[in-house]
Amino acid sequence: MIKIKNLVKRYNEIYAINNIDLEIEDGTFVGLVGPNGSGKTTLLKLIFGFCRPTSGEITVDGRLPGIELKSTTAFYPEYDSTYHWMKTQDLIDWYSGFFFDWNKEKEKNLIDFFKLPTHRYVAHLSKGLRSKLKLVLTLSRDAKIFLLDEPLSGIDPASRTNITSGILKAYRESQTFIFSTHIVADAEMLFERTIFMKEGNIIIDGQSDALREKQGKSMEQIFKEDIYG
Amino acid sequence: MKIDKSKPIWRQIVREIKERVSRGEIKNDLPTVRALAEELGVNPNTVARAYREMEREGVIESWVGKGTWVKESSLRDLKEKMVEEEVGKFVESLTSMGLSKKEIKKLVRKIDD
Repeated sequence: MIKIKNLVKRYNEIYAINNIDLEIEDGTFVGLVGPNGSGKTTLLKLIFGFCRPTSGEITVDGRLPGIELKSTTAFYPEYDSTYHWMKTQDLIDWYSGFFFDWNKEKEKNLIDFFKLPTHRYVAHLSKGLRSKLKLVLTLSRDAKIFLLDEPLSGIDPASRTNITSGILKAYRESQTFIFSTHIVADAEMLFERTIFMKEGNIIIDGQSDALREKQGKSMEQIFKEDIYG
Repeated sequence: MKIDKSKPIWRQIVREIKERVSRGEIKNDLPTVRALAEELGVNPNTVARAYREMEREGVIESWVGKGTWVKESSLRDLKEKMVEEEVGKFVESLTSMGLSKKEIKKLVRKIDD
């Protein structure tokens, strides 16, 4: 379980995270929804241990983020984390060597599903294929927690369903997924629970179907009308 | 299946399954939770919730390791029940528009011609 108490992250005078309390049960698929600059990436980085809180606390199964947790947590960064001078399969093979929980079968299934060319230089892949490569690097692990930072950003609308289907295929019900996005429509059916952020705060947080029942709106409508508006 | 994202998805899955059963598209075994989740592009836990609800209603049965199937009794009754439900809603919406049951009957007879 991920437990967050009174979490604050300040960069000089800017509050990226402004006093957040949050608990996420194991095996929940969470959508973290908010406009750019709302604190989604910072929150994921704090959970992963890329940066430290200004104040407050995060624990995962009672432990503070650190090296131990990184071994059971997979992070998908928004930036391009691949090496362009390598060939796709070589990069995957090299990268997989760092992880005890690498699942070769998942790797193969994902490569097939995304139709990822394995013997081309990463430099020659389109931006969409590079995102898919990054997903193979992230999702081929049998990690406990998956933090996906904007996996739909830069993906053209026609390919988004392919990305979400791949993520759905890789997801196991015992795993915790946190999927940050400002593109809601194509991903909201994956989210059991949706957390809406704005200016470093959590504005709305609930089971997606319960929010639909209560408000008569899709997650996308809530985002556009109640968060952006 | 077209999913309306502004309404609870698990309820729509319940309805979809019942419709498939009434149309005879599902004769016995239900798809596995994962297969249906992937077909519809929804979270497997949402499908599992729909199945749990139908099991509670007595429409389906499941055994660990054996899968999930439609109960013999509901194969017979489901279509009837769903039609009754729809007719109920239809009559209700017309009475709320001020029509009497007599007038509704008249209208329905007109459709026959």
